[in-house]
Amino acid sequence: MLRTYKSELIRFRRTALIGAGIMAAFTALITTLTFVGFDEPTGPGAGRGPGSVVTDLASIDGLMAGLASAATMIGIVALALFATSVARDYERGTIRQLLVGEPRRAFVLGGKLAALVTVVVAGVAVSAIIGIGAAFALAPIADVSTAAWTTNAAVSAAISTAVNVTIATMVWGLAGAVLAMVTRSASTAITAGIGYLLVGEPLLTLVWDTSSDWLVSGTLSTFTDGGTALVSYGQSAVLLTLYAATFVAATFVVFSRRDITD
Amino acid sequence: MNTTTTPGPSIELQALTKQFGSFTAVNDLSVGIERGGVVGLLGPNGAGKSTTIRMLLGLIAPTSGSGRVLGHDVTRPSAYMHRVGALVEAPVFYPKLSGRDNLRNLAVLAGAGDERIDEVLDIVDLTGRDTDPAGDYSLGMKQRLGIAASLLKDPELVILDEPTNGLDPAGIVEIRELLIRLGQSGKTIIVSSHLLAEIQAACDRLVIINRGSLVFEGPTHELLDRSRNELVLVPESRNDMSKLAALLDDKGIPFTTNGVGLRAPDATAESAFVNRLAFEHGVTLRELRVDVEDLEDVFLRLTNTKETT
Repeated sequence: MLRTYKSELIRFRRTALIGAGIMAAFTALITTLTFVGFDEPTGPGAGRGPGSVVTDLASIDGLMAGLASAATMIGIVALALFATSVARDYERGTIRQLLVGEPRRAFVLGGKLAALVTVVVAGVAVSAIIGIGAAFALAPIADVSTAAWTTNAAVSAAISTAVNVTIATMVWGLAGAVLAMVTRSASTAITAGIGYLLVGEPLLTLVWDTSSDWLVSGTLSTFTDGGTALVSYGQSAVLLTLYAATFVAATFVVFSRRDITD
Repeated sequence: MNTTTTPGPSIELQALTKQFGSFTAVNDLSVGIERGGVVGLLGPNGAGKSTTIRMLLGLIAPTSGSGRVLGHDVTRPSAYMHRVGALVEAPVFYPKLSGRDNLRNLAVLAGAGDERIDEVLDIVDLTGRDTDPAGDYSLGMKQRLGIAASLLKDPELVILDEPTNGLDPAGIVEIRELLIRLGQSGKTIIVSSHLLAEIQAACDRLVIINRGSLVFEGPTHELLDRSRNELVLVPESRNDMSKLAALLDDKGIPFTTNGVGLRAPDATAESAFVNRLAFEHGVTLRELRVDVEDLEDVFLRLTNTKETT
């Protein structure tokens, strides 16, 4: 599996760098919008009390506010990366070469997913660093105090956010992998993934309003936010684990049983 | 690199069958291929060659029947694929990477080092062009790079699917010479093609399939023994066709007609007799010759792709 992992990293180097760069760019953009593009409520006491954007940004969670807000966009990039990596081998015909080199399909897929997870971890790490740098750079412009950001609690919160976003991003990616494995087309898989996010799940939520508590996108948001009033962080973590396990199992089953006729 | 060998034939297939829905791509194929030399797997387009090769490589699962590759069950490719190299259809490379870097990437999978890359580049005669982008390679060079990739594991068995596809005559000659060299190295080379003439000179043995079924298996020279010679008779006047046909019929000589002349497959030794017979009955022959079927004709006839003349 280590050979497939290495081979995948070599072959996917360029696309992975672009993907990680897009993740970081989204984080930088959303962090900037978070700090300088907000519309503070007006009126007596506005801008200083609870619920104020400036007050929230000055809290221990403010340091990673950009990364947390960019989580969905980073997830979509991961979905596209995983889908492209999986489907590209079918589209280009390199799947034949891969399986002639390594006939154990579980190893091929395992190595590929491990390489993609590495890219996701690196991409989110770079995004987190960019987000933190941008937050410190923009705080004076937005008149946001950074005093709370350097406390131990803030560091702990930042690590927690980065880990949550990393895990959520991996699940997004795994969703892209299973879609690409089934469709054998990167564009179809990405369109289906984004279509579900933008149209499918909102429609389901309209019809069945509690479904957002357990549908994929809703669960990912809940997990990244550290839980909601209705669904705890632990519950969302369990649900997300089930989704991830289902995606991985489905990808492996389809790949191991499929005839390679492409 | 690979020194493990097991006795027995390279490939043994027993009633191997592959169906895609209601379409039978390979039908009840039984064949044995001994070790060493170059074996041609021939058949027209859609004969089932690529499907057979994919089953041998574990890319697709047989619907029924059984097969063994290097002594291992064909449904367990992980047991033998480390001893098998293959080029399946057109070789696929990253165009911006050099030929060497493309091989390096595949060498990671094969567990081969830089020394082996040098060796295979030398075998396919690409040393000197190995640092050029693969996208700049001619079709022949890409095919040779694909063959180099198939040799990275130093395999006992090399399976090449249509390596001459799309090549010009010079490229075909290059690949043919390469196959002969590989065959002399002690490896078993299986090369598929839909054109016998392209690889005939390189092959010691031939396996011919058509519509998924075996139509010939044996040494290349044995295929020649199946050639048919026909006595061709063309009368000077078309009006004499029926008279000539009646004469042959009367003497019990079987024939076919194509409107221009008659073809008598079993009368090649009796040309003088037939000539006299026609003359004595007032039929002047414009043509009297023996048509010798060459290997390509036999192949086309066996695979039912020869046009009726």
